[in-house]
Amino acid sequence: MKLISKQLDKEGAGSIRLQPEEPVDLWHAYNLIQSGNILKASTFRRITKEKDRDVAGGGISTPSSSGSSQRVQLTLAITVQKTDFDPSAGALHVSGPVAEESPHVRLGAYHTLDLALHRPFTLSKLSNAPWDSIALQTIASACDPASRAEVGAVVLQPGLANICLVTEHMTLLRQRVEVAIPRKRAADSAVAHDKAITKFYSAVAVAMQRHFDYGVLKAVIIASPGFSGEQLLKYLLDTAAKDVDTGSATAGSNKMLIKSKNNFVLVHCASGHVHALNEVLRAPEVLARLADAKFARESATLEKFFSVLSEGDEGGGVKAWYGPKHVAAAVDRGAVKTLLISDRLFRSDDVKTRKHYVAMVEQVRSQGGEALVFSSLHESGKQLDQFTGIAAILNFPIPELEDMSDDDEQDEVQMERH
Amino acid sequence: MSKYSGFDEDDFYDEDEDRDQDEVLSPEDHKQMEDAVTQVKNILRGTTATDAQIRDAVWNYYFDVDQSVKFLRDQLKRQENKRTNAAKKTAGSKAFRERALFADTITCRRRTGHYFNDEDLRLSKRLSSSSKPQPKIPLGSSCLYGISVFDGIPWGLPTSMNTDITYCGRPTRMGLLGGSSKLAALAKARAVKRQQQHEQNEPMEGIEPASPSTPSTASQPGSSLLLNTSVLPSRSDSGVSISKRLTSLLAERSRDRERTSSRAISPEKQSYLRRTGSYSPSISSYSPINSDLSSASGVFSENMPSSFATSLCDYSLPPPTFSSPASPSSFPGVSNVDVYGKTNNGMSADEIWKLITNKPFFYLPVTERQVEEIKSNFDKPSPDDIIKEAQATKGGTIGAGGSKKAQPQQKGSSRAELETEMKSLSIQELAMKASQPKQKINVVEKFISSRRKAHVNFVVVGHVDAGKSTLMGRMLYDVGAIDERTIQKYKRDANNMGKGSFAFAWVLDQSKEERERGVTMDVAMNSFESSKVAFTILDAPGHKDFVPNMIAGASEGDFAVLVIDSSPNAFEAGFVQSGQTKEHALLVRSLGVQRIIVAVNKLDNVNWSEYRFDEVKETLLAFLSAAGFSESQTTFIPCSGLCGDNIVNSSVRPELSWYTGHTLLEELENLTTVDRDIGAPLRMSITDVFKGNASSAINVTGRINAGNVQVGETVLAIPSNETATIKSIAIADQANDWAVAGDNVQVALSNIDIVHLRAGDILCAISSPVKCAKTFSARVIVFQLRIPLIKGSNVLIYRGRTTEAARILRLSALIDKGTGKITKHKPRHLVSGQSAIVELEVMGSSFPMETFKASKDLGRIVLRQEGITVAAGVVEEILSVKNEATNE
Repeated sequence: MKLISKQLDKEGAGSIRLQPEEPVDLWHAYNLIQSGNILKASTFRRITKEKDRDVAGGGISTPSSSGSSQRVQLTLAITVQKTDFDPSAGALHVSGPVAEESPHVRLGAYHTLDLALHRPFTLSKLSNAPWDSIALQTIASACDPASRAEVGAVVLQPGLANICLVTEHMTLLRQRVEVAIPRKRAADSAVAHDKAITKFYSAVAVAMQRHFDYGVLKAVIIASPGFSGEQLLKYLLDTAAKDVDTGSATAGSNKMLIKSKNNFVLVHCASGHVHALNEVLRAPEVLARLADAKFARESATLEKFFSVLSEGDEGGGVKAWYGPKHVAAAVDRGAVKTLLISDRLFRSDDVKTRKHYVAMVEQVRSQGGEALVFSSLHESGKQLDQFTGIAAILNFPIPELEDMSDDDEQDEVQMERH
Repeated sequence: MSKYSGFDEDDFYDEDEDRDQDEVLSPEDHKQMEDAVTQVKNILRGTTATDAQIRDAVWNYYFDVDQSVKFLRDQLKRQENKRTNAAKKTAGSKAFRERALFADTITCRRRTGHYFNDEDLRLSKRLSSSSKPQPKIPLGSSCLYGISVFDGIPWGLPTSMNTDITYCGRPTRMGLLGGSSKLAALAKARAVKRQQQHEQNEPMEGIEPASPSTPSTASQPGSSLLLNTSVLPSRSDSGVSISKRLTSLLAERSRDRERTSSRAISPEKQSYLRRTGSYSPSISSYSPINSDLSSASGVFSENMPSSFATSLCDYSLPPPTFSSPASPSSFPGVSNVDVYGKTNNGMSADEIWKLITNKPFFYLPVTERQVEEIKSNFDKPSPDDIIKEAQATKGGTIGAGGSKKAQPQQKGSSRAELETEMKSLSIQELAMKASQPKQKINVVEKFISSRRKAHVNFVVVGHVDAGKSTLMGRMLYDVGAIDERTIQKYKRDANNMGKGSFAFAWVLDQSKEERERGVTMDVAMNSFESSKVAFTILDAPGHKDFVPNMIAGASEGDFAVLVIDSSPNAFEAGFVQSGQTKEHALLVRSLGVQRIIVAVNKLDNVNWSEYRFDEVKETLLAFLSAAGFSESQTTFIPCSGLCGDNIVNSSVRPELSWYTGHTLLEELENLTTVDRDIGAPLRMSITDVFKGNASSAINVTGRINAGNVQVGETVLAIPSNETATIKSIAIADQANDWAVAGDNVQVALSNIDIVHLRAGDILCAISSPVKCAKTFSARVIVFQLRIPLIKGSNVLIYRGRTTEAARILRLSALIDKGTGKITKHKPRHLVSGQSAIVELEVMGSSFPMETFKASKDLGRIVLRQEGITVAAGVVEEILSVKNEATNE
């Protein structure tokens, strides 16, 4: 992300002009844009010309009315009502009524802005929902060029492989490879089994070639139970070497593969399903390489939370809690050591809810605790979302929390909404 | 006699266009034209291109000389080809027939319809409105061979016009455009006769040969008629109106129809429609035309031949005199088989004609008078609707033919007739019915009366490297199931690999990787028979990464053999928390195994020490009884897989004289088989799907959980919801006509595609299909946990071969292990050792499931998380099922 200009007053109201540079920046934008904000960006709109006067869409002109229509590029400011983000396509659509006068479009007519890479946009927040610390932190981390670790990850088990791209803030499942592998049976069948296994590895290799740019990736993690990962790596390197020797069409990318041989990390995991990624990203081999990467820290923290939770009463009381009510109470008592919070909670349409969580994060930080905002596009964040999206590891146990009734139903309603 | 010498669409069109052209040419254009023509002429000197052709080409390409030359060259070449082809044809109809056979294997399918449709629409409008000669149609171009489809298509072709050439096999029963040579000859004779009667100016030969063949689909009458009419203008040099011809044609049709006084689309025809509709995908694009018949003009204006039809069109263009009886035989696909599926050899022409005239659906349903009739017919369910209906209801009524449902309005008398006729056609839709075995076996009676040997399935479990495979290899060798030569070979190969002690394990570890690594990865199934019992061994992997495979194996076994490595420290290593001895024992118990035999293996490593044996025994006994194995159901045997002591033969070793009990085999023979409900509806869980070597059938292996199955029966595969017919059954590699619950079988299935079957699917009786659960509640026992289970935890559900991602939706209640009573509602989390009722949501695709009450086998699940078994339990209630729409 490129920060072009920033005009904020004391309360934090004002506008910031940004230019997304990478697909992940659209994810940041998605987290920044809230309903009620004013978003201004260049866009296209079909304008119907009626005789001498331009008529804005949105009700006045009917499709049957005569007159020519034409696509016009114009800059529109809208009051955000709805945002829609598609992580795999890298598209962010923001819609709402037009908020500023324009020569072509009537005020209040609805428009959808498609934010695109390399096209700047201006986001203004009013004083009732100003730029808060979380939003500013998001911008800071988005504009930090150092935080661009991109890692390729393949989790596989015989017959099933998931090929993912893991960036600082997103895990993108690029392809799922499924090959039916006949079981070994007596006599003839071992051959069929071995054949199917080879077919499977070649399918995975092709998929990796398509989705991974070995020159850019910081690391390529291959994770599997058993020996599949090892076999796959061997297959990759063998075929790449063969390819380079024979000089086939894929020789170029294979050369790159051999060059980045040392970037491959073999990790053990329990299954070939995507959510095994969480386990993979906190493996010591991965942490050694990518300790500063956000996703690795997230996975490790979540793991820590679970281990504290499973300790149970050993330290004189439970020191790990989840759920908005319990965590809020813990924060009030200044007991929180690490706050785990999903960015989903900040995307709430309700300004009050967002303010509440932002205040919670600020309070924890001011108390000397750590607050970690999980990306809900990572496996760890998804898992956190499964249990309310907020959790805390405490410095000391708070017995009162045990007696608190938890509003399960309310939690569920909240979960259903997302 | 070349049929092409007399006419060429292009020529015909060109001359006409030239005339028009001259009228509109401006002087400048004229000059340009002359220049271009001269240039082209110079270039094409020595060829047979006529002046008119050149002018036309030049005009078409806007005086672009290069393009025109290219076009003309190609055109000339094409004409040359046509001529030679025609010459060949006259030379011998035999050669032509061969070519036709080849050509009919090629269908040209239109990729997108728009372009052609527009063109067709335009064309047909002109057809019906004016007698003006038609512009050139790329449709009618030569298509004797698949490649020549592209001939005659003008340049600058839009991509939408590109054709896809698909090999669809020989469409034997399609009968799109004609009958046999006799039939066609007959039709010709008929046409001549009628011509005299009706004083028609125009001959009908273009249409007549097509008519007998039209019944195969309702759409084809329309299209084939159009096919022929569309080429008529190019052959006619008189100015007679096409529309007039069409009208006369229609009148004739109506007369014929009156004679037979039958409905436009009879039930018989509907049955044909059904069949043909499902028969060849290549003509499926025609089916929408059915509905278009409801408007009379629709036939002409909207439904023009596709390129497929066009490719056939050339065959329907008979030589001008139509005197050769051989040429109609080139109609694709129908040369030997007529629409009744009988050969017409030996039938006289009259007989055939009678046959034709008695079948109302041979007539084109296009007269205006009958439009109303057709409309009324289409008020009834369309053939597709009928098929859908039949499919939807087929589950309910086994044996009630789909055909009956297909013809609800059928009259009683003709029904029987039709049924027999349908049978004689060996219709494909048989697959849709629940076919019954030829001779229904009462399997339950047969099973009781057969008194076959007891079948014992046992799974061999234990920590990695406990010697499971070696022990079983040894057993197979000692009972003589493996011959000496094979073992010698394994020993030699294993020695070469530096793994001499693995020779026996290789009997079961067949795959290359397993042998190289010396680790079993997947369950190996082997069978052998002793004098009393038929055994099936399921050798499970011990490595912790392959626990899923072990679960699959364990779910197929009735009994378990737990193998323990008694070497110093090895037993302890396997018995710690993360070891598999405990996990496996707990898993087999929670998968329903009650009787366990503990083989204390590798006693040779501890000098056959009784003390060590007792130590192992005591430790294990305490654990196993806690896990739910009663002491009377647990047996310990000291043995050595490598040496062969106490496996099949009692040990004669003096060091082992302290043991006087049974050998492993004796102990296994003494197992009493579990009684199962063999009369219940069939449930068979599939463990493997593979294609047979020679036959087209699909082989599946699996275990019959409930009920029975016999050859010829139709079963339903869940979740794909596809039916399949049992072709053969093999129990322990022995072919059998039936199998009952508890058997591990290999079944060959027909009438199903392999994509509909996956390991983990369930085959069940059509009358009682298994449901696919979306959410369900389960009673679980929580194993040793690393992290507690909370709401929202991701888990993997294992049952047999199936794995499915799921998450815990709700922790409903904690229950008391002993009494099963609820002790606490809505716990915050579950920790090790607790029992609880939880609600689970299946994340992935369909998961066929049954409650524990309904099926002891299918109602058991294992939950794992990150490679650790976190819980095992039974399905209590299915809360919501997967949306049925996914089955469509």
